Amino acid sequence: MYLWGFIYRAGQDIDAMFLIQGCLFVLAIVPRKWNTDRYPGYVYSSVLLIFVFYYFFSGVNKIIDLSILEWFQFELFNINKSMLLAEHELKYHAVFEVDVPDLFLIISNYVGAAATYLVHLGAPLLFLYRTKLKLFLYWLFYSIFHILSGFVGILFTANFFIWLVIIPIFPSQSKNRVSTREADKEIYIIYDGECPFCSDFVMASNLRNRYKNLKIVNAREKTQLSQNVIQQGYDLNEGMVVIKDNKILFGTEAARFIALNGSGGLSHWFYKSMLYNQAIANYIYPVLVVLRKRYLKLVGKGLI
Amino acid sequence: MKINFYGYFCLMMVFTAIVLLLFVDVYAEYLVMWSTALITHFGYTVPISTPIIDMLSLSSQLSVFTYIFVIIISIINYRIIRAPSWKLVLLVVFLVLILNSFIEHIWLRKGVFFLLFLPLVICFSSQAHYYFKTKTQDKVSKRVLLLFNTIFWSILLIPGFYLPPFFDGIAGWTLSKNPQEYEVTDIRIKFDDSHYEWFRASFFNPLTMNGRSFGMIKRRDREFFYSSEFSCFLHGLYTNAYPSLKDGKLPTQSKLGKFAYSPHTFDSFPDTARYLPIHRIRSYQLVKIVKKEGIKEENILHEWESNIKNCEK
Repeated sequence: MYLWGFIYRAGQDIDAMFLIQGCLFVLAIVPRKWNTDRYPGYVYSSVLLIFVFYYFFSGVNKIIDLSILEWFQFELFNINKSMLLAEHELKYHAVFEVDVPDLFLIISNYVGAAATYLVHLGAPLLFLYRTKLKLFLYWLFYSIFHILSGFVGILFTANFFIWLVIIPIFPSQSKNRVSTREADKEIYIIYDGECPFCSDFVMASNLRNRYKNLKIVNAREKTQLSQNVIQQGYDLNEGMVVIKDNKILFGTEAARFIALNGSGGLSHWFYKSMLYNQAIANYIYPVLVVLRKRYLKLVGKGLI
Repeated sequence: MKINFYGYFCLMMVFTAIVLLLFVDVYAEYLVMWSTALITHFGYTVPISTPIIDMLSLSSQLSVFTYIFVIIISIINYRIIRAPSWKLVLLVVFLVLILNSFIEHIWLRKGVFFLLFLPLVICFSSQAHYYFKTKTQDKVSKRVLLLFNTIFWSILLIPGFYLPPFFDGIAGWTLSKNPQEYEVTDIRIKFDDSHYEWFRASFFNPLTMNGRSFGMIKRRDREFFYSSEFSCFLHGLYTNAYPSLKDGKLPTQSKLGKFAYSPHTFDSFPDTARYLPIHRIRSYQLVKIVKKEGIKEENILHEWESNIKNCEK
């Protein structure tokens, strides 16, 4: 709110990007205990609604404010050329330089804006009938649209990233449900309780929602279980351990098991994004292990 | 009963719209005179009243087609209320775009739209509310939907209006430009070797919109803007920006370099060596440079002498 106030006082309105960032921040700090199952859905819908509101009403404004001729009257590339001339002669400002065929110029000059207005007006369909393809096409369209704004010297960087939040990259929760037999299985997680990142990673996953008999073991407490794991040759300083069906998952495998089977809020979404892909996780997990060791050294705590 | 109510409502609104248009059409000159007189009565000078004169003066008389379209749109709106149809919605949207061609001022377009579509918006608002209320099961979803439904229809109720501080959207990109012409109004730095460099938007970091920062200061505090204190303010900004300029970076890139979040308005420094140390600044100039029909004109609107010693006090 402070930043919004600052921005408004400095002469800039609060636009969709600020609203979405604010929304994500608020949802990130709301306790996850509150309706955990629906939490990711609320995050997703809120972000999507802000987009839909802003773009749809922007489209409505074009109907109210413009005449039919004015819908085809935004000469993007003429403006670009005028700005380039100012840049070359006065070194004023900077814009993308364009070298495209004449036909593209004509289309962009006279049809580009009208097409954008129509896409704006169709934004509610994005919310009411969500399909991955539609979301992807909208993301693609607005990414191209925001790159084109570079031709008039403006770049909406946040748009490229925030749109990614609403593209569903994980299977839906309903497909991810487990049978009662699976839910009754005993699962053990052995992790370093002194490492706040490891604790947050485990807690954020809310794995207990899925496995009723989940047991979380702090490796520093030297329990029989953790000693057994160490005796079997697993170095708990090099990775966490998950025991399921008497099978030991170690390091990247264990972390991926927790991330992919969990359900939580934004931080879980973040962890899940990092570890979702096996190949990427193989690179990321060792980095996280190194960072944990650095942290422990920094705060003066020893290894396990 | 309800349909009859909306029928009368539509009739009343179309009548109001026609009266408004006739009034503006016939009495536009008087409106300008009265508003100017009112403004001068309160002690303001004529230039302040210019936007109002622009707003009220109609360069061309409203054509009879305006009234015909107003009546047709209202009739179609009533038909949509009676039996909603996508085809009719598309038709009415198309007719609004044609109607706008006959009305010059955006405020008048907004006003007419508001009057003609008010019955439709109220009717659909209550229907949408009922729909969502019955569809959702849990309390939280109901509340969230009620909130969004209220915002949605409230925005439609007053066209083009957004509650400040939220962004009201760009009205429309109707810029038509000659690629051989340009107009630039901005602040530039004059160094002691008599060369100039622009005082870039990213120096005003974190607000990096071109011309927005100094424009806002000018609007908020005119006295400060034209005083020597403003030159000290610019001095401060340049002092902050200079260390990164020396390294060939924007002030927004001082920590993360090229991986830093890009400023809203593009900025780049093709030749950073041209930005000299602060003690070599002679003055700051607010200039307007216009190139039209091949002729370039430069006007210095204001100049602030650089006096670092005064600033240090």
